[in-house]
Amino acid sequence: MIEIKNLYKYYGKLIAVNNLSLSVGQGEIFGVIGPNGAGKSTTIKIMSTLLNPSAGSCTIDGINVTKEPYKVRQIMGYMPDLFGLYEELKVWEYLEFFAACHKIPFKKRGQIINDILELTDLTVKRDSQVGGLSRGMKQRLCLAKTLIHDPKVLVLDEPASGLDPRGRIEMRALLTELRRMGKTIFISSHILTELADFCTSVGIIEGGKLVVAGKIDDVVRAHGAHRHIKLRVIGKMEECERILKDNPAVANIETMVVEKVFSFDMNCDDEALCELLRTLITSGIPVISFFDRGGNLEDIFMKVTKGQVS
Amino acid sequence: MEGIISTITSRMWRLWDNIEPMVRFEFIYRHNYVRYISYPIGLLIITSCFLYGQWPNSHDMVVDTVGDKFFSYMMVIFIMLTTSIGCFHAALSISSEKEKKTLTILRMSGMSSFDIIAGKSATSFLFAIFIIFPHLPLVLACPFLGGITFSKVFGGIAILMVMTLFYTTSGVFVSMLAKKNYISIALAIFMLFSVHFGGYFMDYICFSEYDNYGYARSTDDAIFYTLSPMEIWQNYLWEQTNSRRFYPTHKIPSLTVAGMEFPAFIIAAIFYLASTFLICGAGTGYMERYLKWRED
Repeated sequence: MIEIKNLYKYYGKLIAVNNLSLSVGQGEIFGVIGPNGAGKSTTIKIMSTLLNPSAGSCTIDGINVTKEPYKVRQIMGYMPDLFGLYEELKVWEYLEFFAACHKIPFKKRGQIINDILELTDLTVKRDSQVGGLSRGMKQRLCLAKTLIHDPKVLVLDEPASGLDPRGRIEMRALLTELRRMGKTIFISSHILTELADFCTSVGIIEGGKLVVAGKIDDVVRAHGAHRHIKLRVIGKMEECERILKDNPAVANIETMVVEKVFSFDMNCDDEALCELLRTLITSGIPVISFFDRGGNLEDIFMKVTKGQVS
Repeated sequence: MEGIISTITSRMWRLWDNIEPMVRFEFIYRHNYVRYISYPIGLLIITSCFLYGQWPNSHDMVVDTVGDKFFSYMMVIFIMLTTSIGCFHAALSISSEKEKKTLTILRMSGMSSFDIIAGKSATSFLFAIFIIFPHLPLVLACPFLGGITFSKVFGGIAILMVMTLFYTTSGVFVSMLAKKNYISIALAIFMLFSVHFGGYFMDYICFSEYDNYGYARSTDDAIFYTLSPMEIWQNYLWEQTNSRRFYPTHKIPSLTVAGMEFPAFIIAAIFYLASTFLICGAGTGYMERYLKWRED
């Protein structure tokens, strides 16, 4: 759905994007991570037809973003990191304005607006003024505006920045719902945990270069990052700890005696993880939960990046 | 003939479809109803006071016609209002979007550069016309007071509309260039100054010679002044009203094409209409490229 090949962007002598190539398939959620100034927003602006690349190409659903920007805009929804809203408008007026801009027939607008408001959980705010909404609601309204023409591809530049924990959770739930609806989502963030939870693939950008890219599991495996396991039992704590310590793949064991929880890292594949669980059960350890929290993107990020900016 | 009419009708509808979101946004969604009521009424009161001050004495009422005199005064007010309001309202249209950081989402909203420029121009044009709309009964009363015909009144209003469209399109164009509102207003002032006085300046450079007193004077070959709106209006009012109150600096000659004589103000109106399309076309063609270049 999204194909970027050998993309370069120069600002004078500064190289903002340096030979960046990546591919995002239909229905994927691709998260781009990188420090501030890494070139994430420049890449997104090129994808969104707001900026021309110095070299290379970018296509969305086979349409070249440089040659046919208006066609790309018809199938893409873009949410910028910093955006303004028409604060004097009511929520439904705001959405109706953008529906009219997208040439959605007048008769269909009402139903589409109702559906979008329900999806973004803003139905109760339908007649409220945009200026009176909270930050989280404004973010959701901007996303609602982005969805009004039912785009195939969503490009979201730091959609959860500046949100409180509740706002982040709501935004995450909304993005997961959009993924379920089959949208291809390209999302940037510099908050690693935010992406790890709902992205199918990730790319790490530093100094304008794509340092790492691929499915999260593949990236974790390829870069030797530990899996973080959380184990909860209802007894036999000493015996459980002994089994864990005997396993050579287990490291950094943390024991919470009161909660009867073990937290540890494991550098292994799925088979070895399964074998450990089997050992615990056959040894009579009363396990009530065994949870793989996955690879830690923070570890990989710290491993592959050097703190460079473009 | 029917085919041409249906083509024009369908194109007009398509144009309306393109500019409709902007018009609806400005006049309905923004809830500026108080402004739309108070501004025209306020201006009507000011104009009425001005006209009351110009009311002729009983002697003039007997020997002179009043309608053309009032029409001239009304036109001067209209020209000043539509020029300033249309141009400055348009000059703030895109730059204020930039200041509010809404231009990016507007560009991504499926609207083309033409939709944005035409929509903003139409909005400012309608706003300027809306402001002077309550004056219409006063203008339409002029033929009843004598000295001017309805056709001349409607001709004047038509030229006024063309000029207003030119100013609003130019205002949107300079607004596209500026990032801040104050820069856009400064550019609009410069643009107005250039349009009104640029012709004289060009003539001074190209067609001037020193007279016996050592002063530089434009020669009879001077042509650029004929495009100044000041000259156009002075010629129009001088030619169209019987009272001859407005004496043009230069009498602009009419043009005869295929046996038909076109008065100077008609030619000027065609020139400004063509300029409007040219500016709109240039804005449409270069807006995206310019904004991307500014991002660089």
